[in-house]
Amino acid sequence: MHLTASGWRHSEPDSALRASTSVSTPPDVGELFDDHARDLYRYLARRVGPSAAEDLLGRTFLTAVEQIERFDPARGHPRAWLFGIAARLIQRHHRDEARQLAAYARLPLTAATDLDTVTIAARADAAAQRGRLIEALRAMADDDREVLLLYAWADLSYAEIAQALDVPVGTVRSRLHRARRQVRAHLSLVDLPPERPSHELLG
Amino acid sequence: MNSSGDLHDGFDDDRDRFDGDHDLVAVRSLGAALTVDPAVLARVRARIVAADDASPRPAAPGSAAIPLNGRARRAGSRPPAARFRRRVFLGAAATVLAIGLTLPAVLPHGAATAEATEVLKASARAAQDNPDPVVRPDQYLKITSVNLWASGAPDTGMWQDKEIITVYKPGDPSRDWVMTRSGRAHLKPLNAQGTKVMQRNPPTPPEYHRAKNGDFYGPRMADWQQPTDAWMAGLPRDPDALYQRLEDRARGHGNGLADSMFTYGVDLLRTGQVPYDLRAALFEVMSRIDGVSVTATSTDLEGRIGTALAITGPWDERKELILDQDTGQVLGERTTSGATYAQWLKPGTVMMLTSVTTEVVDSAPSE
Repeated sequence: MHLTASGWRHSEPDSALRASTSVSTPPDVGELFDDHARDLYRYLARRVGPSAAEDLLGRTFLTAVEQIERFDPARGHPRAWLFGIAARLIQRHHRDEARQLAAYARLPLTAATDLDTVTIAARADAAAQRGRLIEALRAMADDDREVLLLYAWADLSYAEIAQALDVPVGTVRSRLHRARRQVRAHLSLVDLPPERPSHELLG
Repeated sequence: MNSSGDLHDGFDDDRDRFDGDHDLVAVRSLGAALTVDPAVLARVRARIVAADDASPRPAAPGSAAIPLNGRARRAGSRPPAARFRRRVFLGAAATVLAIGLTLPAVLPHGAATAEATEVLKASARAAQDNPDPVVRPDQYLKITSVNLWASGAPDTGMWQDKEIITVYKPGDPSRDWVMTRSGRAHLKPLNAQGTKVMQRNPPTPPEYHRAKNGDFYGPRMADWQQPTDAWMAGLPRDPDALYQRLEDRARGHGNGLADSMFTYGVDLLRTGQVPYDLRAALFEVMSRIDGVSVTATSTDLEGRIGTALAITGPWDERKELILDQDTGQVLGERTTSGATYAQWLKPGTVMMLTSVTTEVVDSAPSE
């Protein structure tokens, strides 16, 4: 157990990330791009929407170039490192992220959900659940949301997230636990009052 | 839980903590239909490569064949992406809190200074002379850490949090451990944008956990960062052998061997659960780490006075371990900013301050 939950760099990446440490030549930016851009872009687009994502993808790689310059490139796995850069850039795009979350609420339910929801009532319930999920994501702390989405959307392991965000694995686990608890709390809210027109709320 | 099982470290399974993963399924469904337009990737790639090509290179023979790398670039002028550099590194550090202490001049790297070696050796002797208190099977070792942390990033706004974490470790290992967390309470914003970002990030709620073996968030890793009793029992008490173990773990991680060894050592000590004989050996080991120095007599968060041993991190920050060399106890930690951390932050500003205390108690709180 780790008693810290700080964002400060207390510790180092996990041994699972040792693979590239013996490499003495920094990776070529073109290679890095070809290996990781697709996953990064997908993650960025889910977070901040496609147009901001395009901008952030470019900035992620420009920043990566700079990190290669200043630091020993053999610090860990490039994938986690690139997601870490992207995550920090996303922090500055809170408005884009809020817009993207709002956009999810307006999208038609996905095909997968349609298959699961055979009745209109069930479909309405699925939409309500999605709304509650979005609300949970909106309400949680930035640090917790970042860990949750790197795990659930980017498929990073605990160790990779620890490297990306420069926090101990224990911190990743406690943040993920907290984030999941919040999502679960929102999703189990079955007794929400039905939505009413806004003038009623004002009255 | 996570589909890419091979990437996982074997400790990702939270099923014992949560009933099913309905929540993760729901989260994964959001935006899952998004497709990647290859034209976007091609556009960005062209931009990156163009930026890379536009940046001056040293006119050394064969330089055209050198891939984009640090050594080639360092000799050239400032590349186009340089403006991103500072803030991203600052974001990486991600923690600041301001208690405005100024540090003495940074000592050059080398072996641990003579003064640091002396302090660590004295602490090692004191630890050896002060065996751990006996915790009866019906009692608990209560470990309290008080933590001042900062959140956010320098250019998006930073604020200061406080959290108290208390762990009750049972004397009878078959009984439940208990952990309470106060939740991170907002203290104050640290810069102009901090207020807004702080409001957007709610304080975290209190937590209560009860688990066998201290596995509050799933099984612990049994490592320097998440030590178990069995793992610590297996570590050598011989300083030479322990040094080797620490070096093996630290090599290839972090920002240089010395910094990485210091960090892992502190990770372990911070838990408050290190037996006195292991602590003594670890102090001895840390006295051999290059660049460790005594910065000052230091006051921890509880007002206790100790001696701070420090190493300089990659952003010129000073990572300090605060010791009581008379008892061989770890009092806490402190991290202070260096010159390259953030423009608005005075070098020497305290960015993290924690205290660790242990005592034997008769009971643990129930939920």
